[in-house]
Order: sequence, then C-alpha cells, then structure tokens
Amino acid sequence: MTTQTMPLFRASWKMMLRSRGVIFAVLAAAVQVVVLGLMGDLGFGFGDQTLDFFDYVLPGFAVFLVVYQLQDIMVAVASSYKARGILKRLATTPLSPFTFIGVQTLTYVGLGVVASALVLTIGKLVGGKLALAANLLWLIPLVALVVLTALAIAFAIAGLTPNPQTAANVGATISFLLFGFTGVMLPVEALPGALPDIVPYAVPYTSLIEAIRGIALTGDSITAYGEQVLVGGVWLAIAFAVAAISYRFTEE
Amino acid sequence: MTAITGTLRLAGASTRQLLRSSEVWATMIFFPGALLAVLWLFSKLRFEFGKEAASLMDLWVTGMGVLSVALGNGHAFLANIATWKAGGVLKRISVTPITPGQLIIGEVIPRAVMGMITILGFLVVGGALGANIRIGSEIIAVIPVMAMVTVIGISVAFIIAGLTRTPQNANAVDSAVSFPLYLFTGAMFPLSAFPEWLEEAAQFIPYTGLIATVRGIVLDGRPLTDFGPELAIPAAWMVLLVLAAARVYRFVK
Repeated sequence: MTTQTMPLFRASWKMMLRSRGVIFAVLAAAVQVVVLGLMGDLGFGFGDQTLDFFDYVLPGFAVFLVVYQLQDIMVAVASSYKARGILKRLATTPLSPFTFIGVQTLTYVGLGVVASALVLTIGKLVGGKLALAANLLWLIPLVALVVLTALAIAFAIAGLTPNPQTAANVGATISFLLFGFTGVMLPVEALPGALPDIVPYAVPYTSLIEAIRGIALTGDSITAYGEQVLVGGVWLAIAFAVAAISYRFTEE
Repeated sequence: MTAITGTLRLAGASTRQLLRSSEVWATMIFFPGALLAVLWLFSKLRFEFGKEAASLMDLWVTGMGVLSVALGNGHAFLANIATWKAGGVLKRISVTPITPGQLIIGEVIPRAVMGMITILGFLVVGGALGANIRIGSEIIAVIPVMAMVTVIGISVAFIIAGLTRTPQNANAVDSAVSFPLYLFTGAMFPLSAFPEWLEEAAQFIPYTGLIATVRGIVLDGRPLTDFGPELAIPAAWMVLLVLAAARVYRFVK
C-alpha cells in the first residue's frame, strides 16, 4: 500500500505544481490580498456598525480564494474522469480508484493549507491585524476541513451533472453563491431579517470561516468555536455522502 | 443573395444558436440574476472611506454588473473564435461562397446586441431592486458607452485568440487578464480608497473610464458630454485594440 501511495503522492504533488491553474490560483490570491491591503482606510458600514474592511476580509479571503479555485479545478478534473471513463480503466490496474482519488484530494488539501498560510502571512505583512499566537495553528485543521468540504462538493457536482461543460457552469454558480453567503467578504450580519441567524447553519463553510476569522484576529482557542466546528463537520459529512452516492468512484 | 443579406441570415442563425446555448443563459441571465439577488440581500451594506460612503449595491450594480456581463460575453466569444482558429474553420469557410468576415460579423452582431441588452436589463432590474439608478433617458445615454465596452471586450478576445495556440491557453490567458480588471477598474471597490498613485494609474485601464461614465450617468444623472476625459482613454484603447485584433487574428487565411 505505502509503496504505491508514496510515489503517487510525489507524482500528484509534482503534477499539481506544474499546473498553470494551480499556480495562477495561489498567485492571484496573494496579489489580491496585497491589493486589498492597499485600501487601508476602507471600512464596511451597515446600520450603526462599522468594520475595518481589510481585517474582516483577510482571514476569509486567505481560505476562500484558494478553495474557490481548487473546487473549480476539481470539478473539471472529476467531471473529465467521469466523461472519459478514467476510473473504469484504472479499476483494471493494481491501483485502486479510491487510492488514486484519495491521494489527489490529500495533495490538494496540503496545497490549500500551505497557500492559505502564505496568503495570511502576506496579509499580515501588508498591514492585517492578525493575532500572532500559538492558537493560529488551529487554523491548519480548520482550513483542511474547508478544503475537504469543497473537494467533496466538487465530486458531488461532477456526479450530478451530465457533462464537463454543465459541471463547470454549475460549479461556477455554486462558488459564486458561496462567495456571497459564507461571510468571506460580505458580512453575514448585514443580511436582512432572520438570515444572519440561519445562514451560518444553512451554508457550507460559513461557520468555519467565522471560526477561522475569530481565531486569526483574536488568537482565541478553537474551544471557543465548538459549535462552528461541529456545524462545519456536519457539512463535510453531508458533502461526502452526496459525493459518494452521486459520483461513481468505482464503476461496479 | 447579396453579401448583406447573407451576413444577416448568418447573424440570425447565430442568434438562434446562442439562445439555445446553456452557456449563454448562464452568463447572460443566471449569473447576473444571482448577483442582483445577492446585492438585494446586502442592500444595507456600504463602503466607507475617509468621509465618503458608497452603497455596495450602487457600486456593484454599475461596476461589477457592467464588467462581469461584458467579460462573460467576451469569454464565451473567445471560446468560439479560438476553436475556429484551432480547427481551421475560417480556412475552410474561405472556399465556400461565405467569407470568413461574414461568419465573424454574423457572430459578433448577436453577441454584441445580447451583451448590451443584458447590461441594460441589469441596470433596470438593479434600479427596481433598490439601487439608486435613474431609469429614464439616462439609460439611452448609456448605450454608446456599452457599445464601447462591447467592442473593447470583443477586440481583446480576438487578440487573445490570435496570440494563443489552443482554446485552453486562450481561456487561461483570458482569466489572467480579467482578474485584475475587477480589482483596478473601480468595478468592485471605490478607486478613491486606493493610494493616489494607484488611483491615477488605474485611469489608464480601458474599462475604468467607462465604468465611471456609466456611474456618473445613471447614479448622478450627469450628461454623457461631461465625461470627455473619462471616455478619451477608452476611445484610444478601442482604436488600438481593433487595429491589434485585425493584425494578430487571421481573419482570412
């Protein structure tokens, strides 16, 4: 198992680093954070509340900009595997489709964590008020949880759509809606009526982004965000279940 | 059949094809609709910078709406012309009674008209949902600005298709070019929130003056003639881009 898996990890990592899409995703996220950092005086206002724009968006963007691109890439990869019957062919080799996809997914999770850390570091260097505390290490499992959920959603999209083109359109639409309602950039508290209370439970990532922002800005321990982590875990389980049912990981 | 009749028939056929395409419905109807829905829900939100404030809805309906519809249209158009180039379609067409120029004009006309209708519809619906858009003669004044947005978008598509070898590369270059436009044209963020040097440099991007003009007309009710300096830079860009497009994309093999 390990003799197969380790070379596969190395190959997946190399392939990923050679991919223009991946390099563009990481660079674009870094550049975007630098640009946002240049708008030091910008703030958000709603009602009588005011938020510092850059401090608010930095933790969310550090995660979401990379996750958004990785989800997009995985939708394309998974729908293309499905359309071309790659996993069916792979099933006749000693390498199982589960190992193949598992390794690829873990490679993306690793990249997501590294890229988010890079973006947060750049954000801090251009003026973000991150709390430099040991508790920042809690961001690693939280970011990994967001990336895993995004990749599971990508497989679910690929499984539920008939071809790569439709998958790409559906994926882009879902990513845009997630951008709007996860509190990445637009504060959920500014939504009308009961929505600020509903959205953290109803939209994947929202609760995890809230926990990530809280820990990054205040240096709180993850224990202060038990409920948010639980909600994020439930969303991951739902996304995994839908992906497992809709996407034929093995063509049996 | 005259050349004009033939071109119009081709444009008619392209229009029918476009209306049947799920990608057009996604970029021209669904995505703008989703954006408007998000903005409507966040209609209380405003950007504050210095002593100024701007409603997120006003800023994004006039900025991000205009840019995303224009870029979405250009992106879809690029996919077509890059595929034509890769597949040698124009070379094959040149041995038929239809000229490559007619084929291209037949594709450009419905794309341009649809893009403009979508942007105008976006402004009208945005106004109905609460953006401070003036829906009257101002909308008419916006049409020539939208025509410039469309010509620039389509010219850029031709240049990218001409300079790249495959549709995949064309797509990647287009994404790389589009990304900074959202940041630096004032489409998403007020330019006056940037440092002065960056704000001044951003005026030289083709879409910046056009977005400022649309905002000035539909939000402040100013006449089109007030925007000479804002339109001069995009006009110069438009001429340069059309010339560059004609040079780098092989319209006739």
